[in-house]
Amino acid sequence: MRIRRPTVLLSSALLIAVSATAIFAPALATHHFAEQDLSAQYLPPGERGHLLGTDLQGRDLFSRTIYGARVSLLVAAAATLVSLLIGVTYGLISGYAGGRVDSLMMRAVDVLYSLPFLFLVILIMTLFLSPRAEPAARVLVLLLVLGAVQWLTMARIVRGQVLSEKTREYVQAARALGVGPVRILFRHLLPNLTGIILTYAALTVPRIMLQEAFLSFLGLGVPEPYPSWGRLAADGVRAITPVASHWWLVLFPSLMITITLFALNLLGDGLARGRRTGPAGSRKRGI
Amino acid sequence: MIRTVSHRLGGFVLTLLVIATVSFFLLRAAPGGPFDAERDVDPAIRAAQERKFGLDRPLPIQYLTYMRDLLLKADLGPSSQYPGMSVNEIIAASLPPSLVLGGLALLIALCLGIPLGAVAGARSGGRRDRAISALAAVGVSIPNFVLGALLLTVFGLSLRILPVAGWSGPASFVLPSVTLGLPMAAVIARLTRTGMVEMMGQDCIRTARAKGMPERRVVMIHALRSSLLPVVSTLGPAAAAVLTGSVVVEQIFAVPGLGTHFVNSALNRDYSLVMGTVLLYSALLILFNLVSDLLLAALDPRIEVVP
Repeated sequence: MRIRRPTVLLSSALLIAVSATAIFAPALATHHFAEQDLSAQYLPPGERGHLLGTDLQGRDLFSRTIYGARVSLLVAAAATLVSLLIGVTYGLISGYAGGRVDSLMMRAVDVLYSLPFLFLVILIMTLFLSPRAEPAARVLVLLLVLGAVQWLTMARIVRGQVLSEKTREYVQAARALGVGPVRILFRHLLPNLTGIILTYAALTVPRIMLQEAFLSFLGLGVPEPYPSWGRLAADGVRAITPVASHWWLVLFPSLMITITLFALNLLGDGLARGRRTGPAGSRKRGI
Repeated sequence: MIRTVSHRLGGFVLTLLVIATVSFFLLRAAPGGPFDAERDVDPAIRAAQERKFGLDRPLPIQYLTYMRDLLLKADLGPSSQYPGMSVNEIIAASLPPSLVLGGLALLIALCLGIPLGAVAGARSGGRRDRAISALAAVGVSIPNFVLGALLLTVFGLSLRILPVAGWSGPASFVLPSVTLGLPMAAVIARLTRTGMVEMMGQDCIRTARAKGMPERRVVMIHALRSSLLPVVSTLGPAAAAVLTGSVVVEQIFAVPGLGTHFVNSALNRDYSLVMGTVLLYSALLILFNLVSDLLLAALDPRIEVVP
């Protein structure tokens, strides 16, 4: 596997830094993320010990952004895991079964591609989750829904790989030895597909982060008082008025989102190019 | 060709029916009702309101009535959020801004994305390629509301050269459509570039060069045409991105379009307005997918349209 060194190294370094921020958030933060101080509303960066300023409730933006790394990364990683589980299993079964089952399963994927899923996500999040709902429940539904919407391309990629891989000798040998289909799929085929699965997963994470930010903007993402970057930036956008822009509230969370997404995209592209398949999935349908 | 199209149109109607059914029951299954926000209303008034919208009748009857009105009269019902207005009227009023916004955004995306991607891919690894690729990578990494806020602050509030909100006259179209179009331009540029890089390595390009064809012609005529195929095939998802993106962009720039109605009506449990917007969005999306498939088949004779 040939990897374009500089981009992969740069993006890995960025991602490690962001992950470290998330892991050591309690040690790095100067305040608690939900701590309000109504005497310190909308302080610009640097004033009264608030490195990046404060928001409407006087909460410290620096600490909220650092804790936001935790929330954003966790949501994105967990939702990606959900999409991975569904997509990989679906693709494995479809590709290995072949024939009519395969074409039926892939036809279903084609139909699902043309459905407006993000609207379904918005509907589910608005309808079933009142703002009074338990925050943990909201986050759980958010993860499941975001993951459940993103598995289609993964299923296609895995299925395509299984189709070519299942004719290889080691699969035939396993079959000849009487190994069952489930064991062949998960013990023999899956390990040989990890490369491409991880590559595409690396490209799924930024997509999900972007959608989480999008939902947060509509007030449907991670609930108060937990800060995700999307939520912080969205709150910042709402705080813009013709009189005062409160620029720091938008700038710093947005910078974190953009840097992280940039690093993830770079890493995914680098890995995909290393596999010499082009940016994975870019020619399948999917934006 | 005609057969496949009619097949697809049949599927289109079927899909819409399924979407209508699913969202109908999804909405009714959700907790809360359209009149929950008005607290302490006299039960008699509440009952009268519910009777007016047919909400007192059993669910299957409500469903059948809705579908009958929808299919026979193309009537989407009355809105509970805006008294005295039908959903048809609301949609008729708010669809044009959304369509103009989406159309302009798509136009920006294509007019910027394809040339930039072609320039980058024509000489991959060159200085221009690296600059454009980096720009595109940043473009796909910026959430659209962040871009919107940035443009709004710079051009609207600081320089004061463009209106920051509303939908009146071409000047007010600029910021929303640029916000919606730029991230998509980045996606399209990346796709075009990938296709271009792939094409430039093909034998036909080498032959064209060997014949002494000018480089400009090689790139414009031979390589670009084939590398546009992946772009055409993403037109469907791109339309989806425009539609969902417009929900956010319309909120930022206070555009009186469909997206604002979609979110608000879901929050207010305005059943018929949610249904109306969902159905309209789905119809637009599926149509776009169909058009992109047909275009693809027209451009590349090897591709057959799936019936």
